[in-house]
Amino acid sequence: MSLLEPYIKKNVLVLTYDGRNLVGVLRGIDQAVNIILESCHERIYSEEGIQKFPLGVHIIRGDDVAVVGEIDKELDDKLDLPSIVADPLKPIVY
Amino acid sequence: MLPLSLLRTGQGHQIMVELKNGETYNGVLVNCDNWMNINLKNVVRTSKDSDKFWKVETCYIRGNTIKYISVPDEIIDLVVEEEQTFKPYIPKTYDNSSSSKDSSPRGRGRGDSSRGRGDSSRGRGESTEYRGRGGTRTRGRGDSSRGRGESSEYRGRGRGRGTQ
Amino acid sequence: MLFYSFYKTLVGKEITVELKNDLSITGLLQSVDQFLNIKLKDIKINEEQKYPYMLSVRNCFIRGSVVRYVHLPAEDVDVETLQDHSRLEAREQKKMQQMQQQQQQQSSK
Repeated sequence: MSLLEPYIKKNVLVLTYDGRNLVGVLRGIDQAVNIILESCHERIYSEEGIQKFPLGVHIIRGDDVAVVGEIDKELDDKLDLPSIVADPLKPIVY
Repeated sequence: MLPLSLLRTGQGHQIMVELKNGETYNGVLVNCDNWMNINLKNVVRTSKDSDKFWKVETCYIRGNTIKYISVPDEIIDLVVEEEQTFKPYIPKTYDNSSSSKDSSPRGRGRGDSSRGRGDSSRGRGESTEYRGRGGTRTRGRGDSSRGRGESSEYRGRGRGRGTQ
Repeated sequence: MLFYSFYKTLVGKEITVELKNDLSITGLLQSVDQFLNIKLKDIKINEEQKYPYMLSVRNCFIRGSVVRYVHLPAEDVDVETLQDHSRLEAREQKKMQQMQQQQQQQSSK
């Protein structure tokens, strides 16, 4: 039914309209692409590498969701987050 | 689990709401509805740059101004799972010369309601993946005139042309 | 509905989706829905060094409303049929409008 259904209970990355990177377990969705993320943290990009910021349970409104990516655990474990340097993602502009 | 079920379960608990304009509201969730409109009490409102704070006794936030809501971890275990049902909304068709036999909206009024339902949901499944309003619209149109259903199917029509 | 059907003919093909935050994602089109939300398989971010945000993601869902451009493989697009269908759709819409007007006139009598 919904394209997002196969991602439920999986670890996902959500890119939001304002350019944030949220990582957590996808627990729920609805038709408006509102999303429940459990054990969620934000990955903040800066010159000092990626920092994690814990957030708990989040309900993200569909309006604010840009991309939902399924995280491949193997690939993710290989990443050395503090060594990845990049500018924060740009917000969505119309 | 539906996001709105989780929110409903959070009634009476402390939540944090961030609006699209960057302001945040910390307070106890009093009530919410299907549009994510919410009532809060004992609220602390924080400005976008977290440099100003206001105490607000109660407030109402319109759902569509919300960016996200943070709820306490334990709420997620309290949610009573609701059956996820998406009842098809059958729009009025403007064309009354419906040519299909069994799935016209009129069929639902024959008293044999369970049968009518079964038909309609089957039709839905066949037409496309059903997801929200769009799906029903397809179906409604497909019903109203046979030709339409076929013509909007890109591939099918394309083949016909190609062989001419 | 035309673009939905059109996208469906491209399932399995490699496309590049440019988002409104300048991110470009290349991948195999897995599925699409009525809102033109897209699912991509085996994705690769263009300029990965500059945009390392999705290094650990293989499959992703893209909200239709954030898509700026979709780059399509030219050989998989049948332009003529697409044109035919655009005309058909326009004609159908016109018909629909006329019917609505008729109905409004009837109900106002």
